[in-house]
Amino acid sequence: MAGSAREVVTLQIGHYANFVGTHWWNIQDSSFVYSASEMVYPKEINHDVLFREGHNLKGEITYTPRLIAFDLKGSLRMLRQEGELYDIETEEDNIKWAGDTTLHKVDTGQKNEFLQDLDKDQDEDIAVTDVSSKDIDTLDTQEAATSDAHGHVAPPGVDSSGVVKLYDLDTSVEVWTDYLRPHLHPRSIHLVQQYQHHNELEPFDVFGFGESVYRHHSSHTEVEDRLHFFLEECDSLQGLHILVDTYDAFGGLASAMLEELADDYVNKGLLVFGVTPASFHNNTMRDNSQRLLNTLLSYGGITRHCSAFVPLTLGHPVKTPPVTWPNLQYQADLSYHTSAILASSLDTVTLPHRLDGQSCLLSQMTQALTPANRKVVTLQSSLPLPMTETGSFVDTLMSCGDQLPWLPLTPMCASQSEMVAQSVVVRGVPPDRLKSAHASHGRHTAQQSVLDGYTTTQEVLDQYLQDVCPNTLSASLAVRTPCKVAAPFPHIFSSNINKDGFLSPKPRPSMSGVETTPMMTSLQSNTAVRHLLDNMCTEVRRQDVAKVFHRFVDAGLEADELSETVESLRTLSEYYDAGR
Amino acid sequence: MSAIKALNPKAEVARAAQALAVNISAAKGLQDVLRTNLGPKGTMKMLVSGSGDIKLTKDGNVLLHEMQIQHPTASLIARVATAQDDITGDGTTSNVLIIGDLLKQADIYIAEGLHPRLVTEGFDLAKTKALQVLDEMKVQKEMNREVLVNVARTSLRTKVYSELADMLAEQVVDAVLAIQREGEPLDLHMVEIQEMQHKTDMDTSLIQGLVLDHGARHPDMPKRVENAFILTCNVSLEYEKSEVNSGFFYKSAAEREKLVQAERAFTDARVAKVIALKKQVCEGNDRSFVVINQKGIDPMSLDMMAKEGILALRRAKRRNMERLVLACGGMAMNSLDDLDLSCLGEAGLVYEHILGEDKYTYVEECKNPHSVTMLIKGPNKHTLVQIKDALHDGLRAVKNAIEDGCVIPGAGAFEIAAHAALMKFKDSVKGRARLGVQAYADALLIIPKVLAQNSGLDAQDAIVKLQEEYVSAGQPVGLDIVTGEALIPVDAGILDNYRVKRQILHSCTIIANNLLLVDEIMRAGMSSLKG
Repeated sequence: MAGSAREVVTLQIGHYANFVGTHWWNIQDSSFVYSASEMVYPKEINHDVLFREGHNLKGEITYTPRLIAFDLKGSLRMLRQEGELYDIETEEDNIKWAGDTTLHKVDTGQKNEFLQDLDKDQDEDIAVTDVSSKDIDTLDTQEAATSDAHGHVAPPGVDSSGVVKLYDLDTSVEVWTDYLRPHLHPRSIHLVQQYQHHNELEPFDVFGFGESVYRHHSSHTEVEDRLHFFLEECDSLQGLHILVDTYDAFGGLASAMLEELADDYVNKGLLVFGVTPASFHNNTMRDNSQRLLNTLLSYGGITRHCSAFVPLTLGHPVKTPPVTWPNLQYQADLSYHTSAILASSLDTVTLPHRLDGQSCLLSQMTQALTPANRKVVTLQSSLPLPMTETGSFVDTLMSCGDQLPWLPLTPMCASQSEMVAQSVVVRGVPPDRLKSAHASHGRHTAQQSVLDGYTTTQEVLDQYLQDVCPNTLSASLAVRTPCKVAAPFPHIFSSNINKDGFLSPKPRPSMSGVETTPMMTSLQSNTAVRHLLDNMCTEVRRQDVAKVFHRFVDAGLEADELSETVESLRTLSEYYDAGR
Repeated sequence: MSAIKALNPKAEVARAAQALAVNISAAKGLQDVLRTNLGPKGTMKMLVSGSGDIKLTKDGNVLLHEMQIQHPTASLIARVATAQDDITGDGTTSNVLIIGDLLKQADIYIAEGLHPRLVTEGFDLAKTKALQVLDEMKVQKEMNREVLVNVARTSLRTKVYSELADMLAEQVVDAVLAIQREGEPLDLHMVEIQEMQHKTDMDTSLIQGLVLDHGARHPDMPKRVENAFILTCNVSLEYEKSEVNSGFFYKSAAEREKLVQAERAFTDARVAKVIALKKQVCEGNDRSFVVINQKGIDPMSLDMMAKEGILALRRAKRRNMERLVLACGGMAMNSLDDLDLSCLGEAGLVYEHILGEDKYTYVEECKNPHSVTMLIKGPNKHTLVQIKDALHDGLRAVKNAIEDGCVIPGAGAFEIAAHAALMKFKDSVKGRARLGVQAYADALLIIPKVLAQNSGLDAQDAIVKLQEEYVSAGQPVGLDIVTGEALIPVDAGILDNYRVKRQILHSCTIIANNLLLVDEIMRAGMSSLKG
């Protein structure tokens, strides 16, 4: 409790939001360092910001995300809603009922390879501790146990020889729980009881459904209890990270919820990431206009109450095609792939307020990036940061030339457009690779020699940003820790990326994956947001939404609410014009 | 050939008799799933999900929500039945059973050539008559504690085992009586339901006050105070962020910290006001002081208050603010400017209870509390959930009885009486619609039949006995599920809600009529027809 962590609570609202969130927690979970001997460089990230320490009824210490994940009934597959950490065995489990009792069991499917290994590792951990607690023949048994199990005591997914196991989960991942690594707190998962996951008869696809689900008395009470549990214990809460599906009814749920949160957490940062998959399997006109309406209403509802809103997708808010990225080969139709790209970027962009020691506050960042009510913020990312195996950070920056070194994750916001303010993070640049070893090549631009004069990544970055974006207010941060992309992160890197995430002339062996990668992100207040907002408003007018509009009205949308929302987004868009 | 076939060759169409068959089989299917639930001797169902989550229930409403119904007709019936629960809080299973049997009985006559329209006419006539019977059967009496306990027990015994049901029945009645206020509608939300995974289900209790699921966040604050003043407020006691836009870009972290220090004074002043009030009201007596705040309280403010011996709770739930005032008195303060004695509530005892990582604060011994807490205990999650569902139904049953001002004899008594009355009424109906009345009367008997079956008795035997007894006794008789003999429900304390029965008659008739009149079902690809 006395810890200096400035807590941030995370909400994941929607199935795709959970996809993204799960990757994010995996990245964090795999970057935990358990012993000082494993520590290569000083610890930078304060995991207590996003994780909480607790203890279960057996008195065991638990470390779980400060998280509430919202999804529909039937979306968890193998995961138990309450998790396993807080199980207690009760003696009297017999059912006290005078009449008959019948058992109805849903058929359990098969766990995928990754989850099986995760279970195995856990069982062995327990087995090993059990053995060592007995004094007899400790050494022998333990040795036997390890050799019997082919030495599976290493961290999950790593076998005895230290080789990281390669999983192919592309086909087996159906829902986000299929690749979730950390344990969740029993209060973390909230299932919407009124709607079923993937139910075609009653899909959860109209903004108003989400609003009424949230306002329903019993679910409201339950959500309030969960929020209370995670928020009340925070001594110095910075704010909330809120990941929201903006294309379906979860946008409505989030909007209704934000309204109350904004009221209760006046001075906290409410940083909302609106996520949308890159492509959808149902692509009829109706489906598209329905998603468009949901997106529009969600944007309207969210921007009204949040501190900053970052729309994110690898596709387009309305239609595809998905963006192509150099050095990545991802399948746009797999949420498992696209969400991984978003998650690694989120992990990086949130670093400034998650550091050990003196970091800035979430609310300071959101406030700085939303001048004059420009609440929509864009995210650009570089995954992996295209550093060659032997090249330096300075070389990498120079090789971009006039281009900025990142690609947009916010739709319709080209990276070259006018940036007003930005927060840039670079991670995973080794200190010895800051600049070329001996200024060997002859062609020295003036800029390069200036950059070569600095001694830390931070200084180089500061100077670089001043050079390439002189009219932008830039806050920058360089972090030594690279982004962990080991299993169950999908294999989306091209074969010219080596194990440590650097560009390499020789292809990576087919049996090995990328484990860590350097990254760079920029969170910006960018006037290009205007295009995004204007485009959506025009699209709503252009497309024939009348066909689906009646469903929204049935779900409680007031007649002029849509035009009011369009109007408010137009006004928001105009803010980005002012001062130009 | 249906017209839609010409437009969409893939469309599936079911016509007339076929359409009816589809609807009837769906209704029967649903009936089969739920029929074993009915009554205090029905079957308890344990639902285990793919991942091992357990749910224990025999509540029809819960089951319908848990089932993944794919059949459109079944889903329609399920929705009507769950709407019944939303409106009246009970009767879901009965609803499904009666709809199923109405269709089944109608099918017999339709198969013989009777037009469905005539059946529905008969149903409507029969419904009106049945409602009349229901009104005549009302037992009007003063809704004292004893009657209410009987009503609650009747409902609860169909949800949980009898010892627990009897205990809960007393508690829900006391809870409702506590929050009842002259001239105001009953708001059941003022009964807070708090779960605690601890001990056994028989340790569930009614707390005359509130149980909050959080505690003080300062080690030096008192764990137990007596005779306390309660200040309920919604004021931030955390330092406020200053407007430092440029700080993010230009200032170092240390400089930012300094700005924070300057802002601190503002918050300190607020805390000082609370402390001043405490000193004013507690000076020279043995009273203690508790602050319950809806907004946050940061560690420094907690520290200041701990030094004064104040017990402070932060981030109280929105819904508990209203309840606190109802339970303890005083006012919920949105500002700390004009504090005086009249703003404060009182509680005889406030203490903390720690369970694992959860803390609970009991606010008890309130004078005349208008908000109370049902504290559910149980060894595991599914027991807690089961009790919670049952409590909701029990509370609703008590509320219904108070608002109706009357009750209906239970144990199948109404259905037997209605059947007898309808058979007489049938003779006065002209034309073939009387067959509909006959079908309606027979369908109602499903309730006592299933009740008997679930109790291990012979259904026909039981019905015949009841009918004979009804004629000879001249007053409502119900089924004794232990002996299979007839009993007088009012004497045995088996009492149902009037509005539940009335609602069942209404909604079953409407939905059965609608389904009977369907003569064509079209399904032309979900995406094009839905919406």
